[in-house]
Amino acid sequence: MSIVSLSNVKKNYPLGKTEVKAVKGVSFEVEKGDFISIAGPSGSGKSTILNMIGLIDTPTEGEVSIEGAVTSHLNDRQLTTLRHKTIGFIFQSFNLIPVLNVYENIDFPLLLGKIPFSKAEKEEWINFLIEEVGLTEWRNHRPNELSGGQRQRVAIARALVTKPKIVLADEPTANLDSKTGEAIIELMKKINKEIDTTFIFSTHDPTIVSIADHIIRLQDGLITEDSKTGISAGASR
Amino acid sequence: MKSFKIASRNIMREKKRTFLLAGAIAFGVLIIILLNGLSQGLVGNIKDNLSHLLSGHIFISADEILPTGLAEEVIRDDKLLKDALKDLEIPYQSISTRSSATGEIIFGSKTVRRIDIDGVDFDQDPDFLKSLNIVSGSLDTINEPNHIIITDKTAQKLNIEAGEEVLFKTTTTTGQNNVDSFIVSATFKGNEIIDVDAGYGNLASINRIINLRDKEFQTFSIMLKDMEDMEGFTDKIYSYMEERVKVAERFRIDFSDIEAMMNFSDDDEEKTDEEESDEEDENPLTKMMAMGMFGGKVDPARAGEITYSVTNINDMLSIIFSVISAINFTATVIFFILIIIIMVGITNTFRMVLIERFKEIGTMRAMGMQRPIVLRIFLLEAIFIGLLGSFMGIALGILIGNAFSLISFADFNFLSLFLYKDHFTYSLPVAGMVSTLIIIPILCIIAAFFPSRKASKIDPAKALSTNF
Repeated sequence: MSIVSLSNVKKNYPLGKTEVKAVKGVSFEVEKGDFISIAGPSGSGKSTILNMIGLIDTPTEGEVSIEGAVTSHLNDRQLTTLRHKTIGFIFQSFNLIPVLNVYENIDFPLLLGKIPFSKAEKEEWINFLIEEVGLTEWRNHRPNELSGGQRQRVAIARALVTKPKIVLADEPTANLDSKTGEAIIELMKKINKEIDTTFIFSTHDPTIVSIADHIIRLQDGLITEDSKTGISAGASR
Repeated sequence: MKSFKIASRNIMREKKRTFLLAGAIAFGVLIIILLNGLSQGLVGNIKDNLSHLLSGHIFISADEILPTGLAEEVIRDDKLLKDALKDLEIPYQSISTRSSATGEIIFGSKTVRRIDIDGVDFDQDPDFLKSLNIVSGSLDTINEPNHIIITDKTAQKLNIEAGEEVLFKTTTTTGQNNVDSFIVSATFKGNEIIDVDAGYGNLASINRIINLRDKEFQTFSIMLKDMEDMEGFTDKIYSYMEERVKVAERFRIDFSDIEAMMNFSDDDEEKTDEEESDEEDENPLTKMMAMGMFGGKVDPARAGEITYSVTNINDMLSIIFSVISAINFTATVIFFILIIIIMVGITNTFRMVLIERFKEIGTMRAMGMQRPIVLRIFLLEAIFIGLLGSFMGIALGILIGNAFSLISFADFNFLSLFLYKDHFTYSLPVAGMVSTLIIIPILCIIAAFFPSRKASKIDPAKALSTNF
């Protein structure tokens, strides 16, 4: 069973008096443990698709399923709960809370819902994540004292703290230099292998795309290539 | 608990902004706490001072119509009054029966034209003499006929010493002029609260000069154990008496009488000359002490009719209290105007916060924060700011109020009725504090509600796509 499934998903946005068709009918599946890249130029619909997988946006048409369960009938509270339990987010501009230090930023999502472990286990888990992303010496520093790469490492650890099944990363390397960007993707891949979490990230950087096991290419709101199914341009229309 | 933690972190992010908002609230609270506490202390001082001066909290007097048709202020039998105290189980500290004679006192060529001499049953009210500060002479002879004690200031005006004999001329409530000689047994330190010429003699001696019998009296004063219960007990006594005898409507003295009562020594000195005058004595203190009113001549057929009056210190001071209430009301109005301005400030600040945290709210919503939690965090922040401001205001109010009460106003004689040992009293306004701690956070919630609700409705996808 696929962990994420999109079936003929369409998304239209109103723009003044007209309507923009951001996603024009996309179907693909993501298997558990996948390290998948959604690639494409700006405006191809990458972020919109990630938002719909992340349940922070709803499709105009079609269906998004998480772990086999359709999500279209869920209300905001149920979607939020599902998001908290199942999905971790990594953002292009890190979105860390400036007044909290590294440890507190990573801990923050645990304040938002039920914690699946004890206080000691929680501390051990956060310390493990800090070590995993290589920030042991920086655990008491605030975001403004960290480099871009370090901030994104904090964001990775934060995305993983609730032990989600899926981590979504929207252009995680866009604000980083290419070397740091590659290091971040390598780190994500390492964690993907170690703790068997599904990573879905969007990028328009061809070097980074090639690191993924499964690549979905988009153009103008449509899939032009799905490396797993072998679908090429126009096939999903 | 989690919302509490996040909200408390949030308000500490922008410390300056938080403290400015809380400071504005604190300023409003400070005004109300300061004025409330001072006016409360003022009321307490006035009541204490007057109850000490008048030897009681509740006063009962009576007017009896004589066969001539004139009304005489007299209570001939205290049985009814004592029964009332017993039946109603009034917890009193002491009771005293008094008569009062107002007139002029003459020694040689010197005259003090207006003096109030109270007749006191010293056996019934033994603590009274102990409370006096004797300057010269002795109290040993006070119970002997025609012996009085007068204030040291009156003695100075007359230039007499203890043991010397003076003439006391008075007019009875029926209009008869009487004169008798009295020996000044002692002088005592005059009451600083209301600086009038005053004196005391035993009840029988004073009764004689105003044509009353030995055991009769004009005023029955009840000093309660706790002044707080004064209104309730006054009402009880009033109802009790109303069921049994004729009782006049509650008498409330007017403000001009209070002012006149507080005539100061400077005015008196002008009147200690040797000139004679037929001027009627109109000292309102006499009226107040007697708790009765001089009635005109009525139908002699009503002879024997007695009308009682029941009154208390609050009745006498109702005008002063209404002035104090007006001050408190004004303070409350100012407070609410300030609070409305502050509320607009809070609404505006929370709108700014909403814009500042737009992306952050989107991030938190994406990470799994529920809408009601966003609302709760915002409202908690408003409550925290409200509470912080309230506590700051209360603390400052208490501090300034107490500091103010350390200042001595000994040189301001006209304030003496309002002071306790030359100082204003700052009384902790507990009710004001509690209501402030409830009202302010509620007003802050109202002020922050709409921006907070808007924050909780932020679409995470939209918030995350913004670049600010």
